[in-house]
Amino acid sequence: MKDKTFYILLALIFVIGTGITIGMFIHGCKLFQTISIVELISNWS
Amino acid sequence: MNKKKLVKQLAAILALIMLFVGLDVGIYQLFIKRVTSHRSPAMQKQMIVVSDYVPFTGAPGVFSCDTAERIEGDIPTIDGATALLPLYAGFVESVYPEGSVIFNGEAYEEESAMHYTNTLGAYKDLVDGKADIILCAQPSDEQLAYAAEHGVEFEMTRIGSDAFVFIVNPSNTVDDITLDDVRGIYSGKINNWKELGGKNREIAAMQRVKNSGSQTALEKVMGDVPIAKDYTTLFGSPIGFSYRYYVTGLLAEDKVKILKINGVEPTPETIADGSYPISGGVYAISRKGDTNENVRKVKDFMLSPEGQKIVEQSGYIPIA
Repeated sequence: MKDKTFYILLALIFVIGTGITIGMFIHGCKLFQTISIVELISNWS
Repeated sequence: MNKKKLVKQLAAILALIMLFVGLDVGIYQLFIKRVTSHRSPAMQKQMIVVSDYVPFTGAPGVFSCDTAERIEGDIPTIDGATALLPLYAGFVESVYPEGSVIFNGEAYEEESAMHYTNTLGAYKDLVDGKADIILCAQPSDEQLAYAAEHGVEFEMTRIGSDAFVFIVNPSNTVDDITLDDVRGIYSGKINNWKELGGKNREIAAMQRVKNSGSQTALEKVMGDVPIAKDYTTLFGSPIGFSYRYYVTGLLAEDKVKILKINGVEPTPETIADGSYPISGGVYAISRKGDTNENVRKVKDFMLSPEGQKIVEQSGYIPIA
């Protein structure tokens, strides 16, 4: 694999991975604001 | 092509992918899974199914008395805590004129004589004159200060009781704590369940928003002991608090465990006889000096044998 291709692939994976991780975190924060403590505790084993 | 170099490159790519997969699995297991509700979006928003408690619709959650005298004239607007919705819905159905309640399928209209907000909104509306009677637990210091600033004094009438309860996940092996343990947990002095005979896991002491009914109840339990900042430990095991009937009746949540306090389980009997140490009063609150005679009539009905029967049928503990 050429160095350029390798670095492009790494950068692509990094961008997509970071996007998914941040997206999941934002999604979780939104859910956290709507859930009741009672249900949060029932989910939290 | 250098085969060794290719292997190194592929290993680096795989390592980066695995890093993100690990991170995302961790976020899912420790965060998303815990905050994903198993309730419908409507229930999630309202916490309880409001349409089960709409007066004059034959709603299954409303218990009322059909022999009481209905009020006429200046109809007081009633509101209250989320956890007490069945109660004021029952009182309204018993003594309010039928046309005074306007529910649009999702919420009560502004001109309706019954509203459904929550403790924070109800106390504010009572002071601001948008509600005339509210059913809530005792006010917080801030709510009393807000009333005083506006020249309003509360007239509080105790109409029933419920227990303030502490809840944990059923996987938690601790069943029983003392009031001192509660103070230790919420002041941050006790921070591992093993100190209370449980597993070696940190305690995630959950709290609610300031001035909500249950947060105010926690402040009263803590007394002069300062409450530590709300924190959540990802690997810990949580404890939270609420009112007994809200958990067992309105939410019908059977996947949490209610802790005994000082060895006493919160049951209707232990709440009524006072052996459960943190039973909380249910109050009908109005503005002192309100000249609307119907305010007194409605509160008198709440204390009457018929009104107290509604308290009991709705899942709360009548006054002795």
